[in-house]
Amino acid sequence: MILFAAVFDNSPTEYEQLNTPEIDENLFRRIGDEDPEALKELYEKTHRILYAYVLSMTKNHEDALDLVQDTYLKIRSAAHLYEPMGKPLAWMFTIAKNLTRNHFRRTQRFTDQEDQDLENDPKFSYVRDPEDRMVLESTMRILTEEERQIVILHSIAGFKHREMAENLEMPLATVLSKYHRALRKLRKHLEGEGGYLEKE
Amino acid sequence: MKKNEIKQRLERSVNEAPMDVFARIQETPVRKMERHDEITRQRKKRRSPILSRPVALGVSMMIIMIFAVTGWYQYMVSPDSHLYFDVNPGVEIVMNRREKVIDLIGINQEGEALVNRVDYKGEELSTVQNRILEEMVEENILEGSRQVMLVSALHRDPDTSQRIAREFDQGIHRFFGDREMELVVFRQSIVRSNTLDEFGEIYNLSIGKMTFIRNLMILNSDLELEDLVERSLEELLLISMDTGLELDRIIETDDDYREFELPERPEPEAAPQQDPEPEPQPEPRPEPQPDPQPDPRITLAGLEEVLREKIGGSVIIELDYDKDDREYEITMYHEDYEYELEIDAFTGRIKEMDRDELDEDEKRLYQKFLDRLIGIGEVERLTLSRIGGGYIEEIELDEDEGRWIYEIEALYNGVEYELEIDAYTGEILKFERDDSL
Repeated sequence: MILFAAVFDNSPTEYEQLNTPEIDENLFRRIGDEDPEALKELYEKTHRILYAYVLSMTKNHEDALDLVQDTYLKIRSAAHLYEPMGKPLAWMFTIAKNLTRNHFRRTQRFTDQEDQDLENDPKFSYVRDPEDRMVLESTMRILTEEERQIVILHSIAGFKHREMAENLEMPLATVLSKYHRALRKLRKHLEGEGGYLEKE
Repeated sequence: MKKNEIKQRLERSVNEAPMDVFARIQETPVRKMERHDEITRQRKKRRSPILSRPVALGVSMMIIMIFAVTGWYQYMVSPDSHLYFDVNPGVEIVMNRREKVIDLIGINQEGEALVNRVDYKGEELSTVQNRILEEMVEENILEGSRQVMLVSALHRDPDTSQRIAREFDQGIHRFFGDREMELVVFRQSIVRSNTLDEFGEIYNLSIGKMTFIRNLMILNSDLELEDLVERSLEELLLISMDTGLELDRIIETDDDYREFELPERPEPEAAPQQDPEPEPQPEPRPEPQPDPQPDPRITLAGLEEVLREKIGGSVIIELDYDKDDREYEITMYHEDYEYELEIDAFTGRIKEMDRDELDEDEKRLYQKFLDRLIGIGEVERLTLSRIGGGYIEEIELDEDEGRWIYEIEALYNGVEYELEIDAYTGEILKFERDDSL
């Protein structure tokens, strides 16, 4: 049992872990009625998660930020149409995903994403700690889109696997196996097997 | 880098992203939409199928009686036939008497997502069918080269049911005609019952798939409902073939599924697992010399012993031998925790340990799937007896379409081997020798 002593000492982090937000579905109705407080509350509760979700698709900070902004604007124009059905975040994700897809279609990058990866400077220069940045860049670089979504939402938003399964419309077993596979891939990569950072 | 550290670094770096867009979000003028568009459309809630409850039945009957007078309603709007299409997404297509589609209902989450993207109102069944299949292809639902699909038609006239199902089946084959894939489409005509409705609702399955499962259970009373409802159609087919069920008696198909190279395995629930024998004929291999540098690391059977003693039982999710640090790195589950361990490969001493509590869903899932797995000692025995000796360098437990598999890398006489072993039965599914080293 002494063994367990080592277990607990590395849990607190500098940043407070965001928990999956409890979103009152009435917020949408209030936003529809132009209630600025409601918009603020929704934004505060969800913008980081939404950003993380969009980032996992765009792999690029600037695009992600634009699309997050567009998503909230779209929510403002459609909030009065929202029918409460218990999954507010899923609706926000749907809007963000659709906007992101449209964005890719428009810029025709969707089809040749491979080329784009090479040219694309993801611009994560705002991340101060080089190791943190390396983890983020590796996540963008070596994981598939689904793997990125799962890993990022789990890490950033503390999404439970079941919540991810619901919001990303994947079976639970798939989420779990993809999650573990993704972390394994990342770990191996970071331990130098792929180690592009060292080479470059 | 440990998984927790990766998560923390990722969290920090995403949280550092500058986000100052609120003012613009607040101030940019927007036009209120009159109705949802493609972007904001909400996922349809699953409606209980029409006529599913006695009350609904009564109401529908009344509606039908009222409109029988005018006639047109019954002709155009009232459901006449239902077709259930199960792949993994399940959808229900409701048609009127002219066999135009009047409703499209997602049975499960994937199905709901799918139907939201398909226009169907007043269209021919074949048109809607093609749109559904196109969506499936576009969304990469049909991964893998083998697809098992179930088409169940419901109409008061059995001949009509059969015809609708057959035409749909032909439509699927036309659609996938030039693709390289093994395709099996099962067809059945079904009859509605309250029990099927009820169970379908509980397990989120179409009454088509529910009917199929019930019929399998009639053929083999050892099969358990709880187990079957979790299975994909492919797995159900596999189970049926393994247990020698006469599928012809319950289902129709024009595809010869018997041609499939489905690896045989005993069905884990029905047949209690016996000590799986190692594969009978090992591949030709280099003459068994002793390993040039004998490696005194403890065996996995020994390691299993250590884990059982120190932690208590073990389901190993991942195991890596790190030859620089001469240690085993292990991810495992025990009871309600996921553990990460580093164990000295020569003494069996636990050098480092970290654990995380699983959430409720993980607990349920793991209890359900992982409790009956063979241990790493057994994996080692099977692997090394197939190769002829050597050491295991890596094990990963992976789920592939509901099947749990150990992926193994081993080294013997400087040659690398890759194996896949069924984690329930110990059957060796893949054996590859890598001569390139």
